[in-house]
Amino acid sequence: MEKRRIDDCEPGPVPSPRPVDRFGFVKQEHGSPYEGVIKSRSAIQFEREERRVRKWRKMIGVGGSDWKHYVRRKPHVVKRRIRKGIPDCLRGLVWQLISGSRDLLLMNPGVYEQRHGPGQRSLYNVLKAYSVYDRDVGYVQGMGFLAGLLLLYMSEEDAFWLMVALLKGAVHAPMEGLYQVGLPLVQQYLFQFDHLVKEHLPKLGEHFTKEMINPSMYASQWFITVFSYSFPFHLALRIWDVFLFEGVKIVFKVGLALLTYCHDDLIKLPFEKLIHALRNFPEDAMDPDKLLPVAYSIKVSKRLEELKSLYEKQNKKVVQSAETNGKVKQQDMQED
Amino acid sequence: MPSRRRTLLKVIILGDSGVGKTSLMNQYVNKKFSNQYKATIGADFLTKEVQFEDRLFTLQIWDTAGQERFQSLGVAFYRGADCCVLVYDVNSMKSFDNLNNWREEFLIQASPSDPDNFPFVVLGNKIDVDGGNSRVVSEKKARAWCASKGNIPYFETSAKEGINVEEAFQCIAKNALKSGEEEEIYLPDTIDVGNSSQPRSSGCEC
Repeated sequence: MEKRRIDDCEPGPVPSPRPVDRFGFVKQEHGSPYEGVIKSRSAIQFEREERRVRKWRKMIGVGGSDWKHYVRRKPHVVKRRIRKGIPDCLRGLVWQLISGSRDLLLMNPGVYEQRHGPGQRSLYNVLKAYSVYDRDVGYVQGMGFLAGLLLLYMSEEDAFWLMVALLKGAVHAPMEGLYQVGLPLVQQYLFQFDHLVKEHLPKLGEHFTKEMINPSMYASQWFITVFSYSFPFHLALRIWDVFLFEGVKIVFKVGLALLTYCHDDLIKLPFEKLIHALRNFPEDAMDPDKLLPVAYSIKVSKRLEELKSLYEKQNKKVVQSAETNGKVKQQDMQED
Repeated sequence: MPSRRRTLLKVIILGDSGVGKTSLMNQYVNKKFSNQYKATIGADFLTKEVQFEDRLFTLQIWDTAGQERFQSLGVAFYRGADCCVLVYDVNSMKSFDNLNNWREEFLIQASPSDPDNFPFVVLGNKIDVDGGNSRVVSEKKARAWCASKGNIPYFETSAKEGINVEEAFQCIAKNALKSGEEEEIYLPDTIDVGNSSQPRSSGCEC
């Protein structure tokens, strides 16, 4: 796999037998709305992007040297700029800066090299390295989508440390619960999302209840792969920009935004069609410039905290009884 | 409500990661196969209309993630299933050995009213691989296991080549319908799947 160079701002035309989009993916035969965007890119838009990249470069400094300083001084500017999308040529570097993985790498020199063999494929290497680094979690399907996305923007070692930063919680709450036995964090997120749907979109929530639809049927992959499983690449990137800086709440916001955007269609559909629609959103709903402003306007932070406490309270009883059972089983085994 | 018509049949596909659950479903519903592997996260779902005698049914097929870690998500879909399809790869002994675990896990989680007679169908997939030379589970061995679990219908399939896929799902649908009938007494008694005019497929006891 060809690796992207972080400084490579203006990639020259790559000769290819099949037409590719700006990310190097082979274009589908049916035209996507994004294709139109590329074609209509005018000189003005190009200049605007150039200006944007210059602003970003200033904010980051050489190799990221000014980044922390800038974030401390002007956190709102940083947040605003990230929400507009990180310039693609700087994405790899910025992702490492905002996830805290850069610091992890610098603090742990040589750790990655010890854990991967030569001559193997990048994705395998990163996933294998992680499963060895964290034997309790090991390898879980879904991690591959994260690692794959990261490898398009950084080296194996950088991708490995970004995985560590996310799963162990360098900046935000640790994600490892998404992958641990029983998927405890997935269960919690689905519980929170279910409540949020009912609160933000009561009519749709009622319709879901009537049709016996719950978030485990459509949203678990949103959380497990942070929208990198089945969403258009350009949308996934924009979500990841914000996800790495602001944390998992953007997944809830985008999820709610998708339901909000398609609300009037979804509310008419019976179970069969509903479950299909919730896995195949229309292309205009997945346009980042339409979807993300809706997502940003939805406030969830406070409610997420409350719902987390509620979930923990409700689950405490279950956990306790399970623990008691576990102890009984152990005793049984000892007696045997 | 007089003789409510039963039109929905719910089928769930279980088996180890990479045995071809998603591919079998795609071959049956869309007549398509892709060599690219994409692990199923959570669960996926497709529907197909099937006809028995003169009646139309909607077969609702739930495809699940094969990695053990995901079982806690899958169990939510087990409830209300009318038939459970157990898939293994004839080139992988481990995937065959695990059929028992999948069957037991299903019976525990779905808790059907009559577990001894709940319909399962077993599919040994990937018979096309390497012209059958890399095969490690013999047909005899697979049939013996199926017989020991109450004569579970057995098919050898290739999702890639489309071999036996249609036949297998015909049997799955028939079994799902039968199990539904036994549960729901308000069904009209005009459907008699036992005397179906469909050609009998090998191994299907229905």
